[in-house]
Amino acid sequence: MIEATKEKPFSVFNEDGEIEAIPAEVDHFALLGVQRKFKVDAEVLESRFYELNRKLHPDFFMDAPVAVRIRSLDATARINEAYQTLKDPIARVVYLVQLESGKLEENERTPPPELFEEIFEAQEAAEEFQCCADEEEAENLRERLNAAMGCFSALKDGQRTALDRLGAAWDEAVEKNEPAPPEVVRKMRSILGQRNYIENTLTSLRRALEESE
Amino acid sequence: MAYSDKVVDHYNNPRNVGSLDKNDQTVGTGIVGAPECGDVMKLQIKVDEGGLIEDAKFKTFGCGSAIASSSLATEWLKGKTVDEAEEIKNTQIVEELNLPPVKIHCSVLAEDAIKTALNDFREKNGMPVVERKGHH
Repeated sequence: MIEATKEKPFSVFNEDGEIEAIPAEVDHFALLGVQRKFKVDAEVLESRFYELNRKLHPDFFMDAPVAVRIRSLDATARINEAYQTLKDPIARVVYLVQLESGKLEENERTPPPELFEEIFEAQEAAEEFQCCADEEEAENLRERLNAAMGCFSALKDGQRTALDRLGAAWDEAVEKNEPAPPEVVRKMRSILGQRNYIENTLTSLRRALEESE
Repeated sequence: MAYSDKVVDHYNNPRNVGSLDKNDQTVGTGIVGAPECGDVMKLQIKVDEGGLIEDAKFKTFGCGSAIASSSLATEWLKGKTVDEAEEIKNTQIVEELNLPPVKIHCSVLAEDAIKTALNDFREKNGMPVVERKGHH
C-alpha cells in the first residue's frame, strides 16, 4: 500500500482547531504521523504522542459541549492505543503485518509438526518434573529441561534476528515506494505465528526449573 | 475474568488426559494450536472394529477454557461414529461451557483438533478425508 506511507498524517484538529472524529480506517501510523514501516524513530513517536496528548488534555474541554468532550476522550483513547502498539517492537511488527496481510490466526493454526512435537515433549517434561518424586528421575528431567531451554531460547533469538533482517527488507521496499515483497510478508507471518508457542514453552520450562530451586 | 462452573470443573478434573499410540492404525491424532495465545492441543481417538470411537484422549497446554474445551470434546467423542463426530461444532462447546466471546477461539481449537484427528484416522484407513470449511 504505497499511498498510505506517503499520505499526509491524519490531523485530529481541523483548520478551525476543532477536534475531528477519527475514522475507524485511520491506522496507528497515520494517527501518530509516522511512516508505515518496520522501523520507527522512537523519539519522533514519543514527541508526536506527547504533543497530541497535551492538546487533548481534559482541562481544555471542561466547558465544551458533550459531543466535543466525547470526541476528545475517544481521540485520547485511540492515540494511547496507537502509541502503546507502535512503541513496542513486537506489537508494532504484528500490527504492521496484520495491516498489510490480514489477521495472523486466519492461516497460522498449523505450524510445522516438528516444532509442535518438540513443544509437547518440552511441556510434558516440565509437567512431569513438577510432580516427580524420584530424585534420580528428577535429575534426568532437569537435564532435559535445561537442554530444551537452550533449544527454545536459541530458536527465539534466531527468529528475532530473522525478523530484523526481513523488517529491513520491508523498509527498503517502502523507501522505494514499492509494496512489501510478498515473500518477506509470508516469512514474517510464519515467524510471528510461531512466536507465542515458543514463548509459552519457555515460560513453562522456566517456571518448572525455578520452582525446583 | 470469571470462568463458568463447568469450565472450572473440567479444568480441575479434566477427563481423558493422556496419549494414545499415534502409530496405531486405529488411532487418529490431531495436533493444533492458537497462534494468538500460543495454546497447543493434541486430541486422539481410537476407533473400534464396529466404527465407533471407543476411546479419546487429549493433552492441552494452555488456558482453562482450552483445557475444558478439549476435555469436553473427548467426552462427547466417545461412543460416536467417525461421521457423527464430524458433526460436533465449536458453538455447542461454547454453549455447554458458557464461554465468553474472548474465549471462543478455544472452542474453535477443539473443533479443529477433532476434525484433524478424524481426518488422520480416515487417511490411515484409506477413507476419503473431509474438506475443511472456513471458521466462524
